[in-house]
Amino acid sequence: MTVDGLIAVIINLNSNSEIVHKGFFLVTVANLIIVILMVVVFLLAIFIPFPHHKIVNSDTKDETEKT
Amino acid sequence: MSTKSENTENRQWTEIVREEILEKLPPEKLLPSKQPAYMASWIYTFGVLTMSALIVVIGTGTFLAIFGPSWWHTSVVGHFVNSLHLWSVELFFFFMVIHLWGKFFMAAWRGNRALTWMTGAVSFLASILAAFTGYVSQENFDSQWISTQAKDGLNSVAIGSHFNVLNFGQMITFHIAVMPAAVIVIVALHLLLVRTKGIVPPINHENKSE
Repeated sequence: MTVDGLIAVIINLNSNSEIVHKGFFLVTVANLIIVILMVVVFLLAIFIPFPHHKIVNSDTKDETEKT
Repeated sequence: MSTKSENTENRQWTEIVREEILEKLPPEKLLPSKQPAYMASWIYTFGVLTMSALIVVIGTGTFLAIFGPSWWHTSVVGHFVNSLHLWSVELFFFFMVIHLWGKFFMAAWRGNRALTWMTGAVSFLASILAAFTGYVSQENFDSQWISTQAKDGLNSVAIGSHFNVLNFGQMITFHIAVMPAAVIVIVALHLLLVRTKGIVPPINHENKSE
């Protein structure tokens, strides 16, 4: 099976879009997944600690502060 | 600067411009070797991720513009470059929106950075128009559907005669010349402002230093 065929088994690209509709809220499932992913990545970016955290001395900080 | 006021009338304009640029954009600010400790957070990486995606967008877009629709619709390499162009745009907006959220909740316009914030917002709007003209320039049923739907909205606000989404020539010109130039200029200005004003400190950091 080709890669295209494999993806087609998981996601049917030949049908109409799945839609989530609750009152005024109307969005396609594809767009909703993207929005949820963005929120997840945003939260991860805030809460996951940055590797190789290096404390910079105060004179560099002051240099940035006065700009 | 004392030398600046001396013999102003004898100086060439190139010298005056050079001194002005060096004064406002010194190399140590343009390419700094150190950054404040608070920058060590993932949320500060989304600006450069957006820039990286933009570079891929422009690179793949250049190939698409050179070889044209008959290439990107029919050849295997054309399909691949076309897909790279699409997915780099998706990532460009993905990263840019997270960058926008991060800066919004950080109130990144603090500390005389209003112009940095505004150029970022304008580049977002310009990018939306650049993407839109791209979607209607695909030369397939998708672009036909989008343009026939969009024309009604644009006609209702009386700009359809000047900005005709059914005109492939006009749309592709906007997409590969006008909008990329606008986005690149605004993003360059945004980047220069980030360098000259410095990255915005977290809100708590300001409170601690007061």
